[in-house]
Amino acid sequence: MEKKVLFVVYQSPVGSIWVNEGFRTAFGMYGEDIEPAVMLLDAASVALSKDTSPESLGLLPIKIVQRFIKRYETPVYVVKEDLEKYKVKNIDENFCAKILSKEKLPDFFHEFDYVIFM
Amino acid sequence: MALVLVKYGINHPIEKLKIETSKPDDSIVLIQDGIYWNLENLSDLTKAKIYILKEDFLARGYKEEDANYDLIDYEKFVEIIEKEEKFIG
Amino acid sequence: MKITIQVMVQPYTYQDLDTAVKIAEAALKKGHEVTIFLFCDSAIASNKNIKPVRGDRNISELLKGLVEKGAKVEICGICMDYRGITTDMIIDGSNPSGLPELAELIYTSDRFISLMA
Repeated sequence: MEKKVLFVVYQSPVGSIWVNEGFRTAFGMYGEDIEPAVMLLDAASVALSKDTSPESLGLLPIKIVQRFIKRYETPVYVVKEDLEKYKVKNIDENFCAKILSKEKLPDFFHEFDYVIFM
Repeated sequence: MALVLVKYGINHPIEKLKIETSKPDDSIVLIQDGIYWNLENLSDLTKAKIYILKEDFLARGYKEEDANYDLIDYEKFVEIIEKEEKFIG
Repeated sequence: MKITIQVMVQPYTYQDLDTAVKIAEAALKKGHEVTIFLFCDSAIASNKNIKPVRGDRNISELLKGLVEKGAKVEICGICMDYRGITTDMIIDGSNPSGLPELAELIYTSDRFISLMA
């Protein structure tokens, strides 16, 4: 039976590794009968901005994950209230992020077997 | 239904979200600095069953009578792990 | 039951390795099959050259003790490389591993516990 796993990252995509690790881990699940998804919560939502660039500081870029999101069709989620809180503009459509409202989160989290915060 | 594991203290936004998004048939286990949520009125945030890891609670200077929720040892913690198929944490 | 416990943050700075070891011990005592997966900075805990000051616990020794009691310790290989930990440095009985192994653990375990970063 397939398992559904949500990897939730919440720290800033610049200055911490967790957004990259969340995606990398999710992509690593496809060898098994696992359906992974990634959620960018709180400050991690800033990863969606076209203008966010950890590479400008010499850090690992985030945009490298986009081609795998496309290849594997990995669902990516973000919370509407977080986009507003961090004033995230200029959203990069290549992340194919689905926007959820915060009130949906209780049901959303409980759809998964494991919700792994990173 | 789900084991919800809380390990950071009361100023941590994500821990608050985990507690708020829990459901009545979940078990929330407060470990490490998560035990400080004992100081908050959690019934305003959740209807889930709440447990506190006794060892972590006492080590942070509180007494058994300070606990507003069930204190558990690691053996009971494992029983909760056995009971709850899903995991949020 | 097959129970996997994932750790992400570094030993000594935080309590997560201690928590994981205690859950693992209690689970082993109840007859469960236990694996600890060391991810990101927690990979440091597998280094048998760890030398804490007297009076403090030796976390790699604690992990070794778990292995001796039948637990498995798997370490993310890329995370080891990033931290300069080579296979000759890791505790006996632990295994350099990776995301395919983590995926297998997530899929085959009855319960998966993760200590968030």
